[in-house]
Amino acid sequence: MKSLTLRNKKTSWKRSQNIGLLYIAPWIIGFLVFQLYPFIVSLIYSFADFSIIKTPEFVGLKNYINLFTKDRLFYHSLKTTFIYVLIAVPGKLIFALIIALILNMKLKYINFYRTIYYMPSILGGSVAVSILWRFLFARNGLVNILLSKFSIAPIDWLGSPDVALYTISLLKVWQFGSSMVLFLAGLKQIPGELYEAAKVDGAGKIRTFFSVTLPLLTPIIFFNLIMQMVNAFQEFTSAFVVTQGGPLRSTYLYGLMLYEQGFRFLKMGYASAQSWILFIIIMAMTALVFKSSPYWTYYDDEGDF
Amino acid sequence: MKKSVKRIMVVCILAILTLSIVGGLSIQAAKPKKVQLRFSWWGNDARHKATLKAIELYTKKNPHVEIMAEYGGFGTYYQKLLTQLAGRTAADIIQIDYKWVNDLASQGKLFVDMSKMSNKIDMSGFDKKFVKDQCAVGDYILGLPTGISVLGLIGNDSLLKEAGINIDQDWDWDKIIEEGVKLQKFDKNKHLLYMKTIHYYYLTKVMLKQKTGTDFINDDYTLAFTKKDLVDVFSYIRKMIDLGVVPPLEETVLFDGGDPDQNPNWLQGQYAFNSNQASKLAAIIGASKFDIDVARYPVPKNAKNPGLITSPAQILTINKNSDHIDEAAKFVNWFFNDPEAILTLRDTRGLPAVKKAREILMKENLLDERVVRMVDVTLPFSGGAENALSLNQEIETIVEDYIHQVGFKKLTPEKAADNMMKDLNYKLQELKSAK
Repeated sequence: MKSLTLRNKKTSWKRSQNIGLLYIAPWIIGFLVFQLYPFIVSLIYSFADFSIIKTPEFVGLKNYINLFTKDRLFYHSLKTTFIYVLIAVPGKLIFALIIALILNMKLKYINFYRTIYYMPSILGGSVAVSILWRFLFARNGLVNILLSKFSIAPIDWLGSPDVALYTISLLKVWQFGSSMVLFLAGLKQIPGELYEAAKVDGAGKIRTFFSVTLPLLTPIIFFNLIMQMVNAFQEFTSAFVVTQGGPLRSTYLYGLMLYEQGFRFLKMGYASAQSWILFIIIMAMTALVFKSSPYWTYYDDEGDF
Repeated sequence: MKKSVKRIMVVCILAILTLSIVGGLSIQAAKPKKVQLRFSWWGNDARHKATLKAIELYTKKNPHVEIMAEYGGFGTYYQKLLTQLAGRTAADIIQIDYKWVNDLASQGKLFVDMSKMSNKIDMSGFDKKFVKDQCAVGDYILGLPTGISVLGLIGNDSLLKEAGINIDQDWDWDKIIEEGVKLQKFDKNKHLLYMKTIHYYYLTKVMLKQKTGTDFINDDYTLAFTKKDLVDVFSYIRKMIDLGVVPPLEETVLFDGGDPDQNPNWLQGQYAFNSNQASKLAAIIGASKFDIDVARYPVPKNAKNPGLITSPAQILTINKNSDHIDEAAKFVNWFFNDPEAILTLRDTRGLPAVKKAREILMKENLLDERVVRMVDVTLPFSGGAENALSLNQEIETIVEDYIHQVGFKKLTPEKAADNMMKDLNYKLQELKSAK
């Protein structure tokens, strides 16, 4: 009798396991076909001369050596990408935090504002918005028309090699919605009594922010930093649609170079090698941020999960 | 559990078998086999509409054929095509650009060799030399030219008249500067010649050919020009910018992705000329609210080679992996030679390359006189077909980078020429060793 129930339990456990696997099958299949397979294959191609139409030909480390020693644009596009990440990521986090602080206040119609402020994040990555940006920031575009009302001379936001990268970064900052929502959730988690205690101790608004709010938000900042950094290193759409990497290759981000090598010059193997270098860079940067986190993030529960 | 799986499998296999047998029978029973063809092209609205109408006409006459149209803009067409060719999912009939001929031919025989199709496609209307020079590599003809396109000047005639500039003159490079300065005096905000980055590249190639008499890169992977030639060209570009003959690059590079019909400054009448292909003329006339006229691209009196760019507007190919090569060829034949097709397609793919088509359209008064004139005034000054290296995409990006260095005033013409020749020689060595 006892063994029977045990077996029943066992089979029912097995069946529920099978059903569970069935439920996540779409994800697993998607992962294997669209992520793991391309991941491995691109590593293999990175050691080959491959033009997507002809059969790949093994060339050893040649692609990597050429990238580091011969390519006239490799270091330039790396540098551009790092500058882009350095501007766009902190800019986005600070902006998202400010908006989150405003939306955390008790205002009338607050939910309406929250929805409105999230909109750019839904639209941000699309081609249509990139084209809109091109018109807004053209020499005789709306932004310059507004500036002229304050007697400021027109600026070539996208046409000048010295300015374009900042303008492109601004597009990224503008899509602050998802980070903002996380900050908002984090702000709601901070216990009210801490603020009351700070008030009793005579701390002003600014002091409270730096001594109470910011330390308690550090886990969220940490998470946002990692996610946004990983995204920013792979940025492609804005530079491709708005500026095509120009003017003077000032917005020639790494993703754009990769695309050009692969699809314009048919050097798929070379592009694969490039994408692996980017992968290693992103992994290293992420590891660095993780290593640094004990020094600046604060966990209520000592970081236990 | 296992048994039921087996049972299901058996049922499935049986079902598939019966279906395929029945299906096979039904295919044999139907007289003309149902054929599905796919046709991919890029273009503007006018071309899409005309082509869709032509397809409709053809399928009405040949009810056993169904043609799926796959069309869009030029922007990512090449990337999509390459991916499809690699995955063997490319269309049966494919429109390609003449600049891709060498690159695609180097990837193996992807398209049906047209030189072996003369029994299925009537090619008597094509200029044989033109086809061999521009659509073939050696004896392998990748496709047939849809139209003839030339690089010329498209003018805002209203503005030119207002400023007192005569469009009907024998344009050379000095006159461009002269009249450009005149226009600047007339109105500080107007510029004589609007060019996208790629048109600065064409200007560089044409000027070099006019100086040296040959393509700017030799077949043996060496440069065909001297440093002085290149410095002259770069200095000329700098002079155009400094004098306001062309708008500043800061203003124009934003619109490198499109044509003047999408550039607000052109549409507002800020520019007097645009250098462009004749095949773009229809779209530009359609979008511009002022009079448009055409002129020949500048040729100096002492040119060693007039050097003007004349090319197929596009090239129509048949996919080698198509299951219905004969049916595709039948459609291509109809597309080029049938009067009804000609009257439907008109000049949406440039001035038709088939002689009979030009005659029919001329007789019916359906050709825009300006398209014909632009081609007519240019052809006598053609620089001939360019060689493979002069059309290489990597070479193009290097030249364009240095044009920007000069145009944005980051490098002097001398320094830019030095660096560019170094980079070009380096890339040419790489291309040579990869061969």
